Amino acid sequence: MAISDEDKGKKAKGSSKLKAASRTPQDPEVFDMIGRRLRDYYDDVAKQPVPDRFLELLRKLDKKGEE
Amino acid sequence: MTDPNAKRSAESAAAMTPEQHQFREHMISVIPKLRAFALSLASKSDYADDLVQETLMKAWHHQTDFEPGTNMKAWLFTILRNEYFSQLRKRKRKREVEDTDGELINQLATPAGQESHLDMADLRQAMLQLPDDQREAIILVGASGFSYQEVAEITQVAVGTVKSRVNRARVRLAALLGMETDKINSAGDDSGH
Repeated sequence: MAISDEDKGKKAKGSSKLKAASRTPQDPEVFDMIGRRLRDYYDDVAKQPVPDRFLELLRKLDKKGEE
Repeated sequence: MTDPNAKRSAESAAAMTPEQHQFREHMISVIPKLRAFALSLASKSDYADDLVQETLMKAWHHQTDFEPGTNMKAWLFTILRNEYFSQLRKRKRKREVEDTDGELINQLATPAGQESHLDMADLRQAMLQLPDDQREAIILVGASGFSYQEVAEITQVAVGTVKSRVNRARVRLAALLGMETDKINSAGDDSGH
């Protein structure tokens, strides 16, 4: 039992960090947060109107198809 | 309030068959989602729109391959991601280096709220740190609304592979976004950081 209190503290802190690190990434709460942020990011772009460049492209393609 | 998209598309719809018209309308409705997907795959927003452009051209030229009534969204997403990965392979062979610092933040799609701007920047930055297959998987499953089975078909791998990619992506994102650290701190670690 030659471990100093300081070392004990360090060791305990280290192992509790390790436990938290191995437990936390699988935490459903964290996954939910990530999911929400992903959807917010995606939806933000998905709700923008169709840019002119794509409507122009389709118009050109349709015209070519008619010839 | 008239829908400008409907008006514009109606103008050139005259000479089309009903099937062609329906195909076109359906495709147009998917474009915003396609853009969102392209933006999450590609590091530069210009490139993302170029990807969408090429996807639409391919789709238009192969419209007879598409079976009406089947999943147009999945079909278009598949074309886009195949194009992205094929270009990626070509670039890797040419050993080009993409600069993802700095420029990136300036080219983000404008988000709704103000304070969310930083969040979006963080998230996009974190996403781009993921390997392509993980980034693709987590966006398709987490944000685009596809089932695991649909994602498996789009990405041409087994459902199990999709699941493991999504899980790895989540773990990595959590770490990159500092969610892990926050949790550790809130768990009573008073180390002072």
